Amino acid sequence: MWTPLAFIVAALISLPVLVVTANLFTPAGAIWQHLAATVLSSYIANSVWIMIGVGAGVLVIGVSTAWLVAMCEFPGRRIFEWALLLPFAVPAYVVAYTYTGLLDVSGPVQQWLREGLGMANAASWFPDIRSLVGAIVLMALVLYPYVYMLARTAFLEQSFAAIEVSRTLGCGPWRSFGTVSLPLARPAIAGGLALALMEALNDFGTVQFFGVDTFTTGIYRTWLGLGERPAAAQLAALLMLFIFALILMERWSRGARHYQHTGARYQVLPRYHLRATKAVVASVVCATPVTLGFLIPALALTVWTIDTAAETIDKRFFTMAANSFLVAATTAVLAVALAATLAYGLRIRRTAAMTVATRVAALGYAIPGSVIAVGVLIPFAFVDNAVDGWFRAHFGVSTGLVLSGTLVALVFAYLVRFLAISLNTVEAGLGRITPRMDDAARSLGLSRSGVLGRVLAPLMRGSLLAAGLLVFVDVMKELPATLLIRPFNFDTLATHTYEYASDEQLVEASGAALAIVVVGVVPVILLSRAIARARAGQDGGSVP
Amino acid sequence: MTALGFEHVSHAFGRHLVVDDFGLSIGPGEIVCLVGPSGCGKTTVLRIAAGLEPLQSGRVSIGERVVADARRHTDVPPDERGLGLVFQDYALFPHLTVAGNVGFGLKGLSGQERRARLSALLEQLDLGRYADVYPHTLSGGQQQRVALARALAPGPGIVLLDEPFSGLDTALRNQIRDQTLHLLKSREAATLLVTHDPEEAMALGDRIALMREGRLIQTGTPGDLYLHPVNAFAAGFFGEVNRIAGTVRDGAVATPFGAIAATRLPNGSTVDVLIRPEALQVKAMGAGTRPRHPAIVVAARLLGEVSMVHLQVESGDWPIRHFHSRMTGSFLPRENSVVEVALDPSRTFVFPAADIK
Repeated sequence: MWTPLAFIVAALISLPVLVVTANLFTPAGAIWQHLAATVLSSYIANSVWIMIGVGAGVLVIGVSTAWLVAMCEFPGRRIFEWALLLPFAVPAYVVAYTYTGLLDVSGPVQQWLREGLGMANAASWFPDIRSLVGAIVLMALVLYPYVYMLARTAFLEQSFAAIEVSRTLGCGPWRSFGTVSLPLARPAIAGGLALALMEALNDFGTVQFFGVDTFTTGIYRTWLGLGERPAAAQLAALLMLFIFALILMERWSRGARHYQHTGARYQVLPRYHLRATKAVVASVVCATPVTLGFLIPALALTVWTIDTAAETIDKRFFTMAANSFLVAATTAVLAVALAATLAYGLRIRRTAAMTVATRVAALGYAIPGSVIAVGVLIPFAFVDNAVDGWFRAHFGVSTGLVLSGTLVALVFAYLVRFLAISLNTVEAGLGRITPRMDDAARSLGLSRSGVLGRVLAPLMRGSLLAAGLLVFVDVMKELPATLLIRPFNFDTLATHTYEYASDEQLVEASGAALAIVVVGVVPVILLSRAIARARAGQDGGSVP
Repeated sequence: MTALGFEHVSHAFGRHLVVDDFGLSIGPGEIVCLVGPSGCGKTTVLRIAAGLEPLQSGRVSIGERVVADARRHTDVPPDERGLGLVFQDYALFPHLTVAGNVGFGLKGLSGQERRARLSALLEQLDLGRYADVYPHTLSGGQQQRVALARALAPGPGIVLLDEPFSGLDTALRNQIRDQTLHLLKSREAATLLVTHDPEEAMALGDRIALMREGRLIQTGTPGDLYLHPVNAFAAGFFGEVNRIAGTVRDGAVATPFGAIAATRLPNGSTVDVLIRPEALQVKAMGAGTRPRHPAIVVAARLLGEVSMVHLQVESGDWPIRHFHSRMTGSFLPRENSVVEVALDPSRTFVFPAADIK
């Protein structure tokens, strides 16, 4: 019973991905010709520039900070270890709105330049943050933690012997880094890069606000603005090609990561002790991304929220917060339940078909929210039409939209996008429980469902909770799919932030944005606790 | 009467055949030890009996009831077989107390009956004081007893144990093994105990089933397997042997200690002669006598109840010259002294040479 159930869940969740992919092979219509002739080249060019720019940015920031905190000792290292994760808490669009508020003509920085320093013409030379370069810089500032996190682990896990050998062979820190550490960590760095780029391609709020046309804005405009659904689907399918390349890169990096452990893994490397100037440089290098990616936006949002609290923290705000909470909590509970079903199905019987179905179902994490929205709305509209037609034919009544434009569609889209997060967490938790537990419970008279409910679920309570929490936070932050699918007049904190920002009411949007950031800090705390635990386990060999 | 029966059971993982045409029947109240080197398929047999491994071919019955029949595609799930199972790693539920673990399989009892049954069992296993503690606070021996109590609590007619003592240190192992034996006997449950340790199998089993590479080699009482092994593997598995190659001439094989009858083997065939150390009886030489089968003492050690004498054969053309003799009590001839050796044919076995692996 479990295997078919898990298979059905996996198939259902895979549906949107398959629907969009199928559009790669459908013939293009007239509107598509029009798009291809006019805007498509700029979509592709901008998306490619974003990938190159954000890629370079996250590599430089992520690898340098990871190497410093993993291999060196300098003042503040222990704090930077977790503080460098903080920008994770800030969605790119929130950073974009905040910096626009700070840096545009009427913002405090230019005001200070004009009035404080008497540069009346500051506006003429001050760089425009609302540009392709601005989008790249801001995205890199909040996406580098993907690279940082994986690279840091890779540096820490590197065999003591490999580095020791290179040092005894006369390589200094820099050459050891270039000839041993970096090549060994390359798969992990590539994995982090792939994840960061997936997020960059997923971004909608930043590029829309900055007027940079990419696939995501194109899909949104074509679908909602032009009402050209097939063309939007084709755009989504084209974007999937970029994504598939990144998925392959990420998969490769996972496979290759197994080869980097060449020796005693649990011996902690003696760190380079940085002194004087070098220590200051290291602290500054680590402090910069934390400050720019988290402290300044969080501080600005806090100040603005306090300034405007009287007008903005009203009944409407709490309705939106409740809406966000409702969809996020519902999705989190369902995502954990479905993940448990799939993971348990796999545990009982790991057939090839089951594995493939689960992996496809878990692809959603890689796929932009706007693409998933398209993949959800097409089959839902089909079902709506079929139901409507059937009722009209048999009962003469029209049922209208049953699924599309409802919370069901929205929650389903969230599940498709975020199931992988809960699945990974639940699978890891389940993997730590010996299968003998299942056998013991079975021999004592429990059915399969009984084993899951009475033995496995209590044992992996922590994993289930963490999985739910991670999904909850991601749903709170999600913007593009929410904008496309949400029921009429249904506002969440994310859509509210977006709409106010679009109306140039940046300061008024700060309350909702700050709420998103505060919730976003929760998984950062979870991550840093995991990091602290890992460190505790390695303390044996640490060098004073 | 059969409590647990296997007929023609075979099982493969992928292309690798791990159980090959296995047949065994265990009577009510009987303890059978399934023994063999690691990887011989014995644990798979136990898992098939429990229903944890789907049966691929053959038949398994519990009492009169056929619980799994590959030909009829029937396979009763483990929760409906009513077996008690003890695992090598105990698999205690870490989120439940000792009482929670032991009472896990108890069903359809009133609260009072349940408590009475639990406390009786915990007392019997010396666990009464630990009813409300969690398993991770217990010692290895206590955890093992909890695992046993959990398996026995529902009163199963059949108990399966998978290497139940391998996690315990030697001193504790003998004590717990002894307790387990008496407990199982008092419950009159049919027991299948899987172990890789021949000594354990002989200490616990009413009967022993010896497996190797998926096949059942020999079934019988511990005495049968020790004194009448069916091949060289069985002979070597249950005790040390001196092994010497030879050739059958006129229905006998020559050894340094006299000829051994080999009437069933054709003349001229090459054989292996397996001599248990206790079959070599060493006698001190009287002065001036000429020994019939002399040997020089290389070393002699007291091992407790027995003495081990290392012998070297000087004369004759033998493929090996070093032999071990085991003598009861303290028997420690001087090193380099010449001794007389007599061979006990009842503890000497002759097998065709091809049988050696």
